[in-house]
Amino acid sequence: MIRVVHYINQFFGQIGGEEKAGTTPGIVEGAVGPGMLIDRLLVERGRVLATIICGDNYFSENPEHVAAEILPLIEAYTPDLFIAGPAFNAGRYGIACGEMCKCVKEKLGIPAVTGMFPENPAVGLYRRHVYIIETAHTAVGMAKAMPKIIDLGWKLLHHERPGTPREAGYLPRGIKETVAADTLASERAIALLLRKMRGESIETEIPFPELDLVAPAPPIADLKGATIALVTEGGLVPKENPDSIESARATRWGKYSVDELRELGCQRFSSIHRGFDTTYINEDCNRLLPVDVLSDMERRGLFKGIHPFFFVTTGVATTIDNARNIGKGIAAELSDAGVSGAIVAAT
Amino acid sequence: MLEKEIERVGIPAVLITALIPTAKMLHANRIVPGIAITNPLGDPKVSLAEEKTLREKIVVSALDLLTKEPGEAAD
Repeated sequence: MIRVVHYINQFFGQIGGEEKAGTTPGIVEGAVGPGMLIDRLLVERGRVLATIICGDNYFSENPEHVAAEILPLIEAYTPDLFIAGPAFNAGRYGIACGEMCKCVKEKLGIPAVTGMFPENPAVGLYRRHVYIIETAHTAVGMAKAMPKIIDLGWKLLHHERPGTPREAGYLPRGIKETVAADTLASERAIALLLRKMRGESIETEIPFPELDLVAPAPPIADLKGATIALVTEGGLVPKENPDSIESARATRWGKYSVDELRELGCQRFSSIHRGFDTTYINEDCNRLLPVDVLSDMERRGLFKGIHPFFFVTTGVATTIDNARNIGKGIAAELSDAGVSGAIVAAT
Repeated sequence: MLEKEIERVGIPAVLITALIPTAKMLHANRIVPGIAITNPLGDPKVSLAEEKTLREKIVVSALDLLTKEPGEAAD
């Protein structure tokens, strides 16, 4: 009977939503929420002995520290296998699952598996360290993902070969494994080239990593003469959301008056972002876009002026393509307006 | 993401966020730590005056980064 410890966030742990994202870690006997599916799938082979529940904000604001805080709770159960999430496309939850798996694997030496949607930002951070089963975007994919998580965990636990990413369903780890092939590399390369020339489907043996590195823009030479623009992905829009910016999976951005923000603040604007608890920002918009402080500095002559419009979109579950297009749109406007520098406030 | 597109057109952009590992992983060039996810430039637990002081410190760091090459010694 294998002993499993499971990690989940405040939402799957049935504590609450964003308003509970600051919940400190706690441990509960047995399975909670998706852990019950683990029990059902394991049947006689094992059981979830304990479930760690922790708020996404509490974890992701200080991942290594919180992981170290949680580790003894897991160790006390002497588990054979650790499962985190799956986190699907939730970024902060992904960070928590990735860091917990990494920590458990390295410090306790037991297999650890999680699951994420390929575009989860935590994938880039953790895929080399941790096995991440590929999942759907949302918990709709739970029933499909969990059996793969358990299967992979079982193999690792029994020191069996996990198989390739395609075979086992985990995201490529960027780790090259030497295997003996039936044909020479030269033969395979030519075959691949011929397929490509014939327009047939091809699969590279070594995918190039996607690194979007942007050279830093030159610094502002003279701050006193500079115009500074404010930009945010925090979804702060006029209350009627005139441009219908989406609360998640945004495809649009808007630009609104800094004067209105300064004068009317939260009477006029509120955040539609669905990825975090917007209470504090809706009490005081300066907590997202620091118009009060910037206006003081402008009056004192630290820089020439604040660009009259601020730019907004919503940064939760945004696809990479949409994020690029939105960014390019905003950048073009800033460029046309001759803005000297931008402050981008993210949640 | 947004700050990289802005830098791509030659305008220096500084990202203020509490999620530093993510910002670094996505290769943002200029990063200033925010206070928390729910309040990057504020702190509901302190007085308004203290909040403004905190906010000013972050904004000063941000403006400072805009006038430097990334990787130059911080203030």
